[in-house]
Amino acid sequence: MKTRYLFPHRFKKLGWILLIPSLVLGLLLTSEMISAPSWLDMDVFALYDPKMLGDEEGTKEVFKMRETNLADEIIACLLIVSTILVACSEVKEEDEYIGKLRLESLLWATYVNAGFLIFCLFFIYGIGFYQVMVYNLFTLMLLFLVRFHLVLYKASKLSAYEE
Amino acid sequence: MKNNVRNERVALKLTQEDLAKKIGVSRQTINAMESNKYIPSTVLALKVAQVLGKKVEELFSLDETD
Repeated sequence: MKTRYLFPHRFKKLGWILLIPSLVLGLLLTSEMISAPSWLDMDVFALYDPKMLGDEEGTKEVFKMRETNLADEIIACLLIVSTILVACSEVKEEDEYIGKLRLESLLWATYVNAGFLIFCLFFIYGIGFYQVMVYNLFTLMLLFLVRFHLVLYKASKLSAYEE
Repeated sequence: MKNNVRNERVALKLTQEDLAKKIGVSRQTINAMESNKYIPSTVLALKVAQVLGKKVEELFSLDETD
């Protein structure tokens, strides 16, 4: 029986096309090797925007307009959509065994991600922890993708060898 | 669970790819099943039995760990 709730296979390619550039741009932006373009500076509506260190006292925190650069929001959104598309689209020959590999890879990624988080909780502090949290938005899906495709590749190599 | 799918497949001169195509699954699935890495669902076991012209019990049997 096939796994339910998967996208058709054609969405996988679209996912990769979005994922690779947004991953590269995201890494360049977070490592400050490139800066966000100024034309993406705009006023946005914030449901909640607490003051940070150095902000004026008495700044309104909820339901307010504020200026921000939308580059990181756009890239984060693209990364979430593209990792979902790559991870949750059927492979060419989707069947029950592939479904099992998919589920096991997701479990593996969840455990590794949890281990990584616990490690960071104890060894990374201050703004570094905030950075870890930003990366952690995407690490679960990325770990899953790496593991699932590695397992798929191994399985196809093995079956080709054992004709 | 043990199975003798590989023997029966070879007896019919079918490759893993042939069997996979006849059943409508991936070649990896047939390989994993033959190497006892994957226990097929009832539907898949019945399909394999149908293609190989055997009863399910003739292809699959319980082992000590089940």
